[in-house]
Amino acid sequence: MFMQGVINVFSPMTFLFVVLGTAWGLIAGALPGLSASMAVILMLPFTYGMGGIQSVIVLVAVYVGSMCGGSFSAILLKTPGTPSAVATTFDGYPMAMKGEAAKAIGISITGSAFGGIFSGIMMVSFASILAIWALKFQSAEFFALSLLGLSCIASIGSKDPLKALVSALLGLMVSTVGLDAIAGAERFTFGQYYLMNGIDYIPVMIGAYALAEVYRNVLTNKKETVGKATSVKAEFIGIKHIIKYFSIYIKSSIIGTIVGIIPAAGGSIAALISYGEAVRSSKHPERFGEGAEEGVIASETANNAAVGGSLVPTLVLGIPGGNVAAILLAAFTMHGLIPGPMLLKSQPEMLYSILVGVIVSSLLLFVVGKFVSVQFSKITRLPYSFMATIIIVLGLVGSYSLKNNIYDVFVMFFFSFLGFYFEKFHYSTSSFILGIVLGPICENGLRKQLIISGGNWSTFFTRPISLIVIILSILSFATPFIRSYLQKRKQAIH
Amino acid sequence: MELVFDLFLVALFSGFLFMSQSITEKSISNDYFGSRGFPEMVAIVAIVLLVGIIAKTLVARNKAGYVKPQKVQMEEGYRKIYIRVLSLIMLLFVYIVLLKSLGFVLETVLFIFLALTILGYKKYPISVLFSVAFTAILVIVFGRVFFIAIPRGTGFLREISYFLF
Repeated sequence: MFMQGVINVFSPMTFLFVVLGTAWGLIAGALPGLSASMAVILMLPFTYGMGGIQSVIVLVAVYVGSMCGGSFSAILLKTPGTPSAVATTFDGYPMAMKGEAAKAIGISITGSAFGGIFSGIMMVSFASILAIWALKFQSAEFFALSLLGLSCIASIGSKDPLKALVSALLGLMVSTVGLDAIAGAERFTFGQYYLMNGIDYIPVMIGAYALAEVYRNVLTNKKETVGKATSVKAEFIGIKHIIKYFSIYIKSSIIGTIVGIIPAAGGSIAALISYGEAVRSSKHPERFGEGAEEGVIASETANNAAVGGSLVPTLVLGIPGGNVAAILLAAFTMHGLIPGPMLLKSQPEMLYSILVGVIVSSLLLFVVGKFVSVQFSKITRLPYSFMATIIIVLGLVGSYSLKNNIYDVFVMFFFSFLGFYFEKFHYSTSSFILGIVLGPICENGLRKQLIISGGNWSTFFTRPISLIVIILSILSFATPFIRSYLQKRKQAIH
Repeated sequence: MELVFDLFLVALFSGFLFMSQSITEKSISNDYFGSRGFPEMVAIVAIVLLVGIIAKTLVARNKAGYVKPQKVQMEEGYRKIYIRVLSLIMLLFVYIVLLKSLGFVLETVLFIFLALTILGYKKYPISVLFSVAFTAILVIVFGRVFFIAIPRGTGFLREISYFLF
């Protein structure tokens, strides 16, 4: 079976398209305004003439590439190319500012490849079990997951945990704008139709991160773009580095795969939860947000691990695990293949072909990623005045193209001031973004579970997965406070 | 200034709390929170925390040894940079407001050239070349290759844009 997969992937035309697809994914991912799903959709017409399996292999290669490509702009421009690279910005950009952009991109590529291959292997080994397990995820588990994601707010991006909490609460508040998903009531819309769908976090992020950074850099009369680096060629990350951070690679891969499997979760949530876990388990949580390598590893490994994860329910049950998986589902049906248990029985080599496709495209990231990062980073050699205009215009295109809506550009503009003052007064933009992203999952999970259980609060603690995740969340939230208390006590004794 | 920002946040959350009272509730059995419960809870917790933050700041100020920050006399150089940032923000605002009517192409060329000038770049031929070239690249990449919607403008500018993307 595995050999059949190898033959499928290495047939000359398929392999050529896998290389091109990975490169295309990396480029599209790096450009704010082109999401992973858009990259896959744009590749779809090129696969019309291919067989079902070949087309899916090529589309998966685009998916793998775009998940990694998003980190390039997150690291170099502080503007995540895809929503999945949100958490990469937290430490990737500070690394670039310290003159370690090449290392950050190297780590991102290594993490992406590791996560992709790991989730591919998991997909093949436990597809059926994982898919059935994923269906057990209900509102209680979604609520618990959002808590786990939010639990690291006290540790990231601010030295003042209280201010980080307030930042996250503002994010949660912003996430409630729009139509209430459960009762359909209008909340804080002022009767404006463009607010009915809520405030998208991409323009908010572009404003609060990228634009606010431009204001700051212009204020400090910055001349160069990325630290002291003049050329950003992705650094090769050796085995030594992987061994040193092996536990983070593995943990992030597991988190990414599991979150990827859960329908409607996806790469960005996986990256945020994995980042939170990396902060929690670190001996130096204070380094996160200041350019910690572990932060980039956690985020990038998890979002690529979500690729294999999201394919599990798609292939086994015919339920897409995310946006891109839904497009892949469409590609399947276009070729007359109906995903589900019968598909794996009738075409058993399918899983192995996709696995080999994921492995090959993940390994190609090292070669193609290096080339793309060099080309992309050329813009960072420009004087900062040029760079500032590029960031502003790309941010504008990225915000506008989301819904072809000018109001999203105003949202970006408005939140640029919030991001600026947040940084100035030691609030945490990262916690604020966490709040916006995880807010709807948190609120809807909480309310839906109470409705389903007839208002029984204990249901959050009687469901095993929910209970475990809630305990982890509490531990994760309390760890920095306990650690700080113990340190103070230790200092007092000495 | 920090205190002013903290108070601004208190006002913002209070505004949310006040507005949440006017959210129309629909009765769904066992939906204890309802549509307004979650934002209310978030606003109340945030206000309490902000009061704590403000109290902490005030206590720190009243402590012995606290040095009140002197109002810094703006140096000429810094004043120039400050005006530069404000001009950039105003230019960006005008760029966004006029985007729908003037369209992406004309606006972006103008914006990049003016922004570079504001940011102190003096080699005007290079500024012109860069603003035209970068806009052209964006139009080709987003408009022609990927068919991403970018604003076309109104009237004859819209008609012209169809020749470009």
